[in-house]
Amino acid sequence: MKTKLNLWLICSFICAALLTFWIHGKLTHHVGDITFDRNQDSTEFKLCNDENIYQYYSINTHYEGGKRAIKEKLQNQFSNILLPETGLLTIRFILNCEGKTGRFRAKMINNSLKDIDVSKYDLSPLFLSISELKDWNLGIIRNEPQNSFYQISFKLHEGQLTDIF
Amino acid sequence: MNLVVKIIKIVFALVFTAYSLLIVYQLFLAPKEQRFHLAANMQGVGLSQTMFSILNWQHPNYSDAFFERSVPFNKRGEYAIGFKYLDKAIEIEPEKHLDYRGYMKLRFLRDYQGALMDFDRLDNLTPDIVDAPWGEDIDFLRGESYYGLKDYAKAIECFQRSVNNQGVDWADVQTFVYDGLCNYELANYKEAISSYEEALKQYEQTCEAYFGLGKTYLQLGDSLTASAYLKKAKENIRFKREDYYKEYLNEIYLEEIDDLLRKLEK
Repeated sequence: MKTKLNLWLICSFICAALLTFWIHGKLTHHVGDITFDRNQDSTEFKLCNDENIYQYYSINTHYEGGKRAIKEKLQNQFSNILLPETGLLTIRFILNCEGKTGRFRAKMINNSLKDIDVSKYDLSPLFLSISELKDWNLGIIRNEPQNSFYQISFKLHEGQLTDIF
Repeated sequence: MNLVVKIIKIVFALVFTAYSLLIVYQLFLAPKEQRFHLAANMQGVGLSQTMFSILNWQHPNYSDAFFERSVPFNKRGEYAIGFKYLDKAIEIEPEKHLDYRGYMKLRFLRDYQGALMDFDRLDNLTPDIVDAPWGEDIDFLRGESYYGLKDYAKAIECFQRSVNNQGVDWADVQTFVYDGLCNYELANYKEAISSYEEALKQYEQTCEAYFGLGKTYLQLGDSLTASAYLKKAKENIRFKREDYYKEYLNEIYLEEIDDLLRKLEK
């Protein structure tokens, strides 16, 4: 009886502990997270505060002058970048509370909305151009600017950049 | 003493067991609607996605779970995954989810042709009702799609149908703005002015309409009137239509009003 009780206690404790760790992992992971990758991310780029990163649309992080201003600054940056001719390229990155950018990631879809692998293309000139955008209005919570994710989409058609939004 | 230890062990074992069973119940056994709402309230969190994957596995015909699972992926730029789940929801219940896919293709992907295909398919499935994808009139959104395609004549047809369907007083004020923009592009300046004026009749703070009037009068060579309207657009810019997620196709900016005003002052 004593052995059975101990076994029940141990098993129930292990189950509860494993479930707690599993749920904690699931609660701290979010769709669209960008984790640090030493092979592609600069170690100089630091997150602020408690390292929470909000979605741009949740805290209204935006660029001064809106997408029009972004468009003006980026539309001539595609001439030297080799990419699939048609599709929608989305660059997602993090803006820290000082308005600095880092951890750039690129995803592209074709007209059938299927993934195109862009890992073989060198997008660093485009990332550099984005990092040169300086007029960010950062989302504020309790009077403190916050880290946030942001994304810019580039529409390409038959080798031409047709839209940035 | 032994009895006390035994009781404590039983209490702890019961608490741990109940805790684990509660989690298993919430993940696998609770009514599907209850689990759906719990997962939907944690949009984008890993646990929410796991709960939706369980719902998708247990109830492969529950389209809402596929639809809701797609939402954070599409909001966060992972369109291939997001649209995979959304397509599945549409495969199960097209009348229920085609509106959202059309709306997303228009506003998030600027895939105007794809959006039109979804709106047309939805319309064919629901011939007796005027659909309102994501709360906006279907013909307004069709018009916006044709505007994106630069097919201004077709866009005007759609915007006028939208006004007819809803009545002048109930149509979205931006319908008149877009109608003005299309007429401007077609060099129908008189019609453009009339559309913008109708927008202002509906809502006098419509800065997009003042801006459109400014540009139209500029095109007509009337700099004085153009300047007055551009100044009105500037005064009312705080009322501009904007969305935290994406830029609207007809979104205007203070900087472009200032640019035009500066040109006029030269």
